[in-house]
This record gives sequence, structure tokens and C-alpha cells, in this order.
Amino acid sequence: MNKKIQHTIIKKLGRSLLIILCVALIAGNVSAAGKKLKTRIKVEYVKKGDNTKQIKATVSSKVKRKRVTLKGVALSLFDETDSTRLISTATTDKKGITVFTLPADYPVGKDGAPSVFAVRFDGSEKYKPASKKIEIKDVKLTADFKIVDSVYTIEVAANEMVNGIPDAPVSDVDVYVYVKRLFSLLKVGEGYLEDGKATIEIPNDIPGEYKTHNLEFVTMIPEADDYGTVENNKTIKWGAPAPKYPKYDNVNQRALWEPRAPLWMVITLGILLLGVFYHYFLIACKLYKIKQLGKNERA
Amino acid sequence: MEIDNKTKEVLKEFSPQIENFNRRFKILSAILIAIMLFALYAFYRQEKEGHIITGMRDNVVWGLYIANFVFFIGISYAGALISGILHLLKVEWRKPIIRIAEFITVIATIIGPLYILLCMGRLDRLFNLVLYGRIQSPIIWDVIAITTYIIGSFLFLYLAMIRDLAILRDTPGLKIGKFRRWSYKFLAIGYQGTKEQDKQLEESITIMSAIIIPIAVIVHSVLAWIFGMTLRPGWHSTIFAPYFVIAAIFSGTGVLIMAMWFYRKMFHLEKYITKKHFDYLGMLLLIMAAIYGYFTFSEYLTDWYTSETWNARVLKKMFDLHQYGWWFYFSVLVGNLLPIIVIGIKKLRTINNVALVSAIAVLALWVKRYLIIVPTLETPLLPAQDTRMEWVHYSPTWVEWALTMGGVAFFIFAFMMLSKYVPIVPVSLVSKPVEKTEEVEVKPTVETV
Repeated sequence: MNKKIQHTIIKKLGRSLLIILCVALIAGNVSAAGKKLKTRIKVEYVKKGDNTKQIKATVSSKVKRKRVTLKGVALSLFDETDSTRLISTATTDKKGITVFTLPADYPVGKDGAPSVFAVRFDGSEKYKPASKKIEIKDVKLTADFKIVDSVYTIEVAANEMVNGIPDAPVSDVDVYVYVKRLFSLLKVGEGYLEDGKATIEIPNDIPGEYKTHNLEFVTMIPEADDYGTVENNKTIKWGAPAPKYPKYDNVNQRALWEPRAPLWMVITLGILLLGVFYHYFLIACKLYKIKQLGKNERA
Repeated sequence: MEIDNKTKEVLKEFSPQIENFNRRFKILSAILIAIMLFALYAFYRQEKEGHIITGMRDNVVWGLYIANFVFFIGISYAGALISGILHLLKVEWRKPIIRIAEFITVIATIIGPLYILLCMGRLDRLFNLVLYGRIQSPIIWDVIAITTYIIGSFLFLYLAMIRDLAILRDTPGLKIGKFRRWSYKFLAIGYQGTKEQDKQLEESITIMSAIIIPIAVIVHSVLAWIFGMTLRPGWHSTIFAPYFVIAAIFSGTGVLIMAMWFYRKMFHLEKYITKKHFDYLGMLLLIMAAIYGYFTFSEYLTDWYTSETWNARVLKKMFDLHQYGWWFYFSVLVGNLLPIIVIGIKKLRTINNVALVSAIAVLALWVKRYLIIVPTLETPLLPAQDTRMEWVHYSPTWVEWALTMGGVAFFIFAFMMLSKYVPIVPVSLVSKPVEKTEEVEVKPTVETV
């Protein structure tokens, strides 16, 4: 009796499992074939040093469990602060990014209330529609460059802006100072805003532009919840000049740490290499000619 | 390409050399591969555990590796100078030995720089040398010079092989694989032996022959300047560049004679590599030994006579039999005098004797490279307060010896493999009639009254 019941239970369980498996497989296939993929939009707000505002949107989706950015997606930017108003439309580049640039005088944070921006994607045959909102208050970031007791100091002040007038100070937010280098920004100092103010000391031995000794500083509040990224740019002659040695100080000019090799050395080496490689090139040409002559001969 | 009967006959003589891998070849290859594998294991250990498992320390930062580097770059001169000069002078007897010389150049130029890599503590930072190299540094001059030299050596060897590659491509019935035949076809770049092709090829070889000579001189001078431009006892010398160049020709000639002797015995090339070759190259070896001896005497005499404190300390180590004395006397006296005596006396100048003194001279020159590097580094200008012997005194470990032997094994193995690929004697050259230099009619310059 017991054995019979056990047998029946196992049979039924097996049948049910088989049905579940089939349903899951069919459902999976259906979803793979017909179901649209979810789309995600990431939005960042950046207020540049010249007061222009940028809204950067990155569109991505999960394909085969891997997140990929989507190229050529048409996005619309809306201002939804009072009513819904279309500002602009654009298409994402090959990295799935599009940047909307708002003019310097575009009103943000009117009457002390945050501005609401929405980026929308209407969907396509393959991807579902998506949208993302951000709420931003306008901030004015100023940087005052001073030398205090021979120390290079930047006094940073940040205030929320209401109808173009500085209002409440920005507090409890990190602020960083960078110097623009050839490929990226080099962090040279950091501070913490309390009552809208921070004092940041920076090193005085950063090499500047070769002739003018200029350095371009970027003071930045990065990705704050209420304000997005706020930047302030300023160029100042705070760069350390490249070391100069007397003309006939050969010891330093030939030193390995000297950034400029003696000119006569560069010219001599250049002429020697050019002479040798010119002959190599000549021989390569002759080899090519031999090959072409061989082809003609066979033809 | 049509191959004439003379060429066919010569190729027939050499075809067993490139077709058959006999038992002796296989055994020798197996031994060489085993040595190379052991060297590879030593390299793995060195990379895993760091340079602490070598004998190099804070004072002696260059040891066997740099001695090997200088040695291999030195012997690469055999091809560059000897075949270059002999080609330009259209010397007839060069034909059977020219390829051996070129093989030596290419293989030694590949192996030499590998020892610099072994000497580097952090190989992963190798690219920094390219990215942040300073033209003010003689080491960078060396990197640039050797790279240029490697390209030149390859081109020189390749140009000289094109005719033979075309012959091998167009010779039916050779018992070789499909890939090998395809490679002959590919590398022969459609050479058909037409008049115009021949002209282009001959011009190319002449250009390379002319240019490889100054390149080779510059490369070894630059190598010498790495030492000479350093303020260290025993190194800071104005004659180091020509001294190194002469040492290079000396050792290169020695290795060439050894290779000639080996191939003559192995492939029975008595018809091609004759006593004349050993006599002529033996004479070159003798001249080089004499010039090298003169340079050595001049170098050590001036150092000894001035007795500047630090130079005197290095010299004392060299002359002291309890330190480097035996090595020094072997390299300077035996390595220099023996070739002069044996080759200078006609009765002693047999093929075997010339080959033997060449081998001794080559060994002595390797020892000399070791003596240039190690005793100087063991004599720092600023001695540390704590001068433990194991910090100051250099003694190579099994890792360095294994990698040295690995280099030698690779040199022989590569030589053997290359001589299986193309005949060791250039078929196209030896089957050609004697090259005639242009005859110029001499007119009387004095008028008769």
C-alpha cells in the first residue's frame, strides 16, 4: 500500500516538474523573442564655470545579463518645473551618451524651488520607453585666489541662487580643486563647505605653462544631490617655472633628470638615424622593385 | 628561374645537409633544448623570486649578464665587418664563409640584448624605457644603436640569401615539407635572376655592405661609452671605444674560425673551406691580437703609472693571484700571446691549431669582459659603512650560470637550425664564375720627346 502511494506521488511530482519545465522554457523563448528589453537612463547635471548648464544622459539596457549602452537613441529633454515644456531633442552617440547644453541665462531654481528636468525615451521595437527626472537648485560657486604667508590659498564660497540673487549658503558638501593637464584634471586640493565657505591650500610647485606659467584651476562641487556638479574655472599665473640653468652649465644639461636634452645631441642622433634608416628605406624600395620585376617576368 | 648545371651540381652536394636530420643532429638538438629548458626554469625562478637569487647586489649590479651581453654583441662583428669589407673588396675566397659570418651576426645580435632584459629587476617596466627614455643617457644610445643594428643585420643576411632562396624554390625533387617550400617562395619575393633584378639586388647588397660597417663601429663604440662615460675606476677611459671595437673584431673572427672548423668537419666541406681560409682569417686574428694587446698594455700602463687611488685598487685586484690574478693573466697573456705565437709560426699554423687558439682567444675575451665589469663594481668610489663581503664581493649563482649556458645553447641551436634551412655555403655564389674587377687601360703619362 505504502509503496503504491509512494510510486503514485513520485509519478505525479515528476509529471508536474516536467510541465513546469516546459512552461518555463516556452515562456523564456517567448520573452526572448517578443518581450521588449528594459531601458535605463542616467542623468547628470553640470553647471560649468561660464554658467552654461549641461544635462548629460546615458542610456543603457541589459542584454544577455550584461549592461550595454545604446547608440542612436532619440531622447527628449523636458522642463517640468511649472508645466511640462519640451526644451530639446537629441540622439545618443556610440557610447550611449547625449549632452543637452542650456544657455547661461536659462532660469534654474526659480523662486527658491528646485527646477525639475526630465529626460524621456519613447521606446522602440526592441526597447521599452523610459524616463528619468532630476531636481536641481542653482548654486553660485566662487573662488578667491590668495597668497597667505607664502602659502597658495583658495577661498571658496558657495550660495544657492534665488532669482539671480545669492541666498542660503551651501553646507556639508565636499569641494575639490583641480588643475587642467593635457588629458585630464589633476586633483591638487580638497575641502569641506561649512556655512558656504571653505579654505583650501594648494602646492606652489606645480609646473605651469612653459612661457606664461599659467595654471587653469577648476574648483568643483562634484555630483551633489541637490545641485549636481558645479564648477568654477580660473586661469592664474601660479605655475612654477621650468628650471633654467646657465648656458654653459653642462653638468646639469646632460643630467638624466634634465627635461631637455642638449640640442647638439638631439641633432647628431637625428642625423645619424635618418642617414641609416634612409638607406634601409632605399633597400626596401629596391626589394619591392625586385618583386614587381619578378611579377612582370612571370606574366 | 632557370638553374644552370653548375648550380644544380653544387646544390646536389648540399641538399643532404638541408634535407636530412641525422641521429647526431637529433641528439645534439635534444641536449641543447634540455639546456635551454633548464635556463628557462632559471629565468622563471628569477622572475618569481627576484634578483635576490642571483649574485648581484647593491654594489655589483652588473655581473655575468652584462659580460655576456658585451660578449655576444662583440662576436656579432664577424658578419658585419668581415663579410661587409670582403664583399666591397670583391674578395673571391669570401664566398664559402660569408654565410657563416652573417649567421653569427644575426644570432648573436638577437641573444646579446636578451641579457640586458635578464639584468633588469622589473621587466614589467620595460616600456618605461621607451616612454621616458632620456637622450642624454648612453644606455638609450645603446638601445637605439642595437635596434638599428639588428634591423641592418637581418636585412644584410636576407639580401645575401635571396638568390639561394630562389634556387631552392625552383629546384624540384628536394625532400622538404610544403610549408618550407612555401616559405622559400615567399621569401624569394619573385626573384627570377633577370638582369635588372640582379642589378637591384647587387646594389642593395653593396649599400648594406657599406653601411653595416659604420653601424657596427658605432654600436660597439656606444657600448663602450656606457662604461667610458662613467666616473668609475677602470672604466673612465678615452680609448674604450676603439678598444671595444678591436676586441669585437678579435672575438668575432675567433668565433667565425671555430664555426668554419665545425662545419668543415660536420658536413665535409674541405672542398670549399680550405686551408687558405684558416690562414687568412688566422692572420686577421693575429693582427687583432697584436692590436688588442697593444691597447691592453697602453690602458693598464697608464692606469698603473699614475696610480690614482681607485684605479690602483682595481689594478691590485687584477694582479693579485688570490683575487682575479689567474683570470687576468689567462685573458691577457694566454688569450693574446698564444694566437700570435701559434699563427705567427708557419709550422704551427695548421687548421686544428688555428681553430684551437681561436677557441682559447674567444674564451679569454669572455673572461676579459667579466674582468672589465666585476672588479670595477666591487671597488665603489663611495664605500658603504657596512661593507659585508657578500654585499661587495660578487659571485655568480647557478641561475646566472644556467642562463649563460642557455644563451650559448641557443646560439648553437639557432645556428644549426638556420643551416638546415639554407645551405651553409651560398650555392649561388660558389657556383658563379670568378668576379672580375674592372680592367682599366693604363696610358703612359710621360711623353717621349
